[in-house]
Amino acid sequence: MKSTINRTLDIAWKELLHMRKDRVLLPFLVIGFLLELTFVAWATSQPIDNLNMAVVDLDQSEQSAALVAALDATDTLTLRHEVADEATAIEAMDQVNTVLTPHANTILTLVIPAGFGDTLTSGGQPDVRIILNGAESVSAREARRVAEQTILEQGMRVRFNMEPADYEDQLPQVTVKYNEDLERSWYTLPGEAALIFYMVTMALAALAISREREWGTYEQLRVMPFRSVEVILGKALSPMLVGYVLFLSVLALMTLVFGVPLRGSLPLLLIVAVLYLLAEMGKGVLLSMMARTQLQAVLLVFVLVMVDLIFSGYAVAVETLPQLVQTIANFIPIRHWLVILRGVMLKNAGLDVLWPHIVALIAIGAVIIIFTAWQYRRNAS
Amino acid sequence: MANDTMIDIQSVSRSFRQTLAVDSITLSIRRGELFGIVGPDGAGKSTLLRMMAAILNPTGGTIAIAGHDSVKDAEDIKSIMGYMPQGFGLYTDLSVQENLRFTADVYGVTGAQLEKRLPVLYEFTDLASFKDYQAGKLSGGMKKKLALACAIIHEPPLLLLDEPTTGVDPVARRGFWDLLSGLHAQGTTTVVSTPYMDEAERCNRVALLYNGRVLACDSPSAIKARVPGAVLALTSSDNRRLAPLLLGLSGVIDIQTYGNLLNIIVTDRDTVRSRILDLLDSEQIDDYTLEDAPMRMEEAFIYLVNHAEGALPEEVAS
Amino acid sequence: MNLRHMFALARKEFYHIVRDPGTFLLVTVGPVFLMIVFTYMLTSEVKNAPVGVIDHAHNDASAELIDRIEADPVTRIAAYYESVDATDLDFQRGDIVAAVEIPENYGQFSLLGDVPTVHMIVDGMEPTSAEQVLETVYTIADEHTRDLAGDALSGFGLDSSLLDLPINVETETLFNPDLRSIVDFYPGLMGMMLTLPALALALSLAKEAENGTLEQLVASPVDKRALLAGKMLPYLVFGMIDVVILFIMGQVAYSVPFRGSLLEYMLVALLFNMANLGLALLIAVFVRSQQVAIIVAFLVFFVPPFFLSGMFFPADAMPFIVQLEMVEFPSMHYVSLAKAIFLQGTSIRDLLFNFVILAILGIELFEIAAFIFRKKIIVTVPWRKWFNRDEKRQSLTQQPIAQSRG
Repeated sequence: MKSTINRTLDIAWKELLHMRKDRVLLPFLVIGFLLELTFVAWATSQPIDNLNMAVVDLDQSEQSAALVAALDATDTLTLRHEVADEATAIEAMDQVNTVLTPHANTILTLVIPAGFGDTLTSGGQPDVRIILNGAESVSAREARRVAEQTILEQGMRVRFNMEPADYEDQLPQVTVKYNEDLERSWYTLPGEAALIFYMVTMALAALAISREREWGTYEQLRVMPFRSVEVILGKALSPMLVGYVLFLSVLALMTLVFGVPLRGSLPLLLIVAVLYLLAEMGKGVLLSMMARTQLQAVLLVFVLVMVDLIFSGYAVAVETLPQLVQTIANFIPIRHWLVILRGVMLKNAGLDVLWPHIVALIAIGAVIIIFTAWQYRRNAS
Repeated sequence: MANDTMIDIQSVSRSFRQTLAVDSITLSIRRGELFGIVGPDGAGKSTLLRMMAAILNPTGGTIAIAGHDSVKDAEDIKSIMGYMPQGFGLYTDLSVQENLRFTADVYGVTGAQLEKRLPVLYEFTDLASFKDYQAGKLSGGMKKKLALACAIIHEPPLLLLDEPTTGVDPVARRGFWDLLSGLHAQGTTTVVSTPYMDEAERCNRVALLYNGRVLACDSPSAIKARVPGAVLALTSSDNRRLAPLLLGLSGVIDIQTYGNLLNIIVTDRDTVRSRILDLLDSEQIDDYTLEDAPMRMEEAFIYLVNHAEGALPEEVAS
Repeated sequence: MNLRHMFALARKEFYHIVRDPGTFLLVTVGPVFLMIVFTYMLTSEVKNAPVGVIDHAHNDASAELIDRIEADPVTRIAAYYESVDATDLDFQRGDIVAAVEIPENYGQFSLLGDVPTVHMIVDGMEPTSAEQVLETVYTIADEHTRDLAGDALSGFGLDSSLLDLPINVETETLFNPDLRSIVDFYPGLMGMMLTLPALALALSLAKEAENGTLEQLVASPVDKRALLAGKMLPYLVFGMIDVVILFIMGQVAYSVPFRGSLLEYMLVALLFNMANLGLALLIAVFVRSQQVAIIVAFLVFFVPPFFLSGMFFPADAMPFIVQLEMVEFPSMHYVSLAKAIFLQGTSIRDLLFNFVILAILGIELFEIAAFIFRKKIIVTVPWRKWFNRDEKRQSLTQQPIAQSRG
């Protein structure tokens, strides 16, 4: 009589053989996703800069020229057009640049009214107008932030002859922890990495049983002398293997190429990754059992991924979501995994901090696998 | 090429990576023949049929169907041929009628022509009362009948059937072959592959395929006549013990077990019969019957396989 | 192209779609569901972010500041600490996302220009919400300091207008007055949702290959371009129905402005749909297995357009090589056209470059798929028979051979 481990490995081996059939699959998974990650990393780590600015300078004074120069000197804004009047400026913002970069239209127009320089030097409070292109809300918001700050600094310079350093200590002091330069990619990359290997492994697992159903080999599998847990683990093992390899490559890519710091314990991360994968695989196999066809399995994965996206903190930190959503989020493995992954990488968090999430991961995983096994057995009767 | 040749296969080979599935086969199938391609699984039957159907190119040699080259004129072949793949090639979520109408559209059978054709097919296949059933809910035998109906919807002069009766119960199998005989009578050239030897008996000619090669190609009776020796049928109380002993006797080529019946293929009826009787005597078995049995395709095939492989007992080979 | 073949295929495919609940939901409810999820993600603003307080002052001014932080919808006070070091563990746990340290002399101004200010610490791990929290707390603290300073100035008998900003900035926003991100993402998102019918198409073709029905089809005289076009047509119809539903949803539920020509937008959507489905066919022709088709489709449809088409991250900010890459993806051109038509009321005439490329892609991707598609079968080693193998070996003919060898 073979042992449980042996039989589990039997099924896992068979699943690996299936994968061999799709000879494109493995190299594709690894290379494709690494390429994908590179693309996303590259794209999202780019600062929003060189946004097109137009200027309507009705004042034509030394002060207005200085203000325009100060704005142009920022990384965010670049002066592209000087326009005679406001109507032309607004019309110009309607124009969409149609060459290779279709978004290269004007994001911000600065209107400096006549008398600006005189009012400022005589100690009054002059007005300026900025017109934003709301069709690019992300860029527009950034442009507005930078413009307002620069205008303030320029005003202080001209009116009080104060450089930012002179009044710095009168403003609130700010320290940013963990992600000192607010690098977007430091947050998106771990999330993206988690999502990618989560989707791949779950999709593979979800297809594992529905595929047998479609091929008609499911009944055969059921009558073989396997215990339910053996079947489930066996089914999950090879997707897990693929997932784990993917995880390692993504981790290496993130830290070595994209400079996301790994401040905490690597062994901890490597061990917890296995726990996390177990939970996701259980979910995949469960879905797989619920689905009649492979197509339905894919659909279910899709729905689940979408739901997980909301609750996981993939895009938005869970702490900032409504209380109800936060509560629900606790039952979703990827939510805990992301906390652990980001915590270890960025915050140097250790077991003392992360243990509740690790316990939660184990608990969720165990419940899912037990439920799946029960479901598998119940299908028989 | 003679005018009555429908399919002309000239030293055709096909390999998949390292495996040679079809190994330099030359065959000629005449118009109006009911031709069987017989062999075990993995013999290369499906590969050969797929190449005839012009959906798989040979890696060597040429196939001409009614004068059309299977690589260059693939599309010409497809319109004069009906093809039934080994698996169920129809749509399980479409009804019987929808499947038929879809196939008709694809083969250009439309309008009045189709309305005339459908009742004939329903009648022919007995599917009339199931025409609104989803194809996936039909029994195995009925699925095959539906697939056949679809394959002949455009009254093709050539019909290629890949293991049409695999997985079908014996009664349905017989019914299916009656349909094929009917088509044959109407003059359709039919090429059918099968692993079942009893079906081979119903063909005009058969090609015995083994490991990608043709072992023999002739009428069933001619093939059987090639086998020297005879078949003896033995029933006894202790077959299980006897079988290996019998195999050890010189002159015994093979033994097949059918329940408590042993079919013993022997080189020479009389001499081996007496050896068997001696053996039974020495083993102290007396409640037995030992009779002559007819040579069937099955025995003939096994003989040919063993012969081709040079795996016969020494004294028989010499 | 043989039209009768095409319509026969299209009718058959339509039956497949409406009879399989999974596919049907995928092409009808799927896009709407996905849209709700995405808009939820995009519009979720930071609310009640937990903030820690290290109050060294313990006076009226500090109490007032704490009240203001608590009262702001973005933030709430979660905990009090004795020192900055004490916050470390809670930061690591994520129990607080920001901390405010109030100095001992907070609220006490001197005529010498001594302005005691708070020190704030922000968890920068997630930059988007970190920036929001930072901005909120910063503004509260800055305004509070100004208010206190104003009071102090009045106390000294000075004019508090000294504290006014040197230059007053008025802001006007075109096209999207409140800078709601949903407004400028929605037209692009609508295109993303069309991924789902495309995914269903790729799967459907892969399914035919796996189930053996493709073998029957390629053995028939069906015109191969009609075959692919026929399979594509129903998905195109459902895709356009999705466009209409999403359009109405955008107008009614999200009040997304629409300033251009509806006809032009529909034309753009149609071309984009065709390009997407052409891409799906191309994928399915390459990989004849459902599993692989899913993954490739996900990679091709979802990730690059989503991140790279300039929907969330402006394309300008991307390296030139990535931009060049994106030219080949229909989504980039769709997003440009759709945004311009929706928000700016631009006509196609002003965006001819994008429109022409989209039109070329819409037709060309299909043609490439048709060019590559061969009416042949691809034989793979049948691993699927793994379980049946031993059983099959024992078929009637095989058994005796095995015996005679043994």
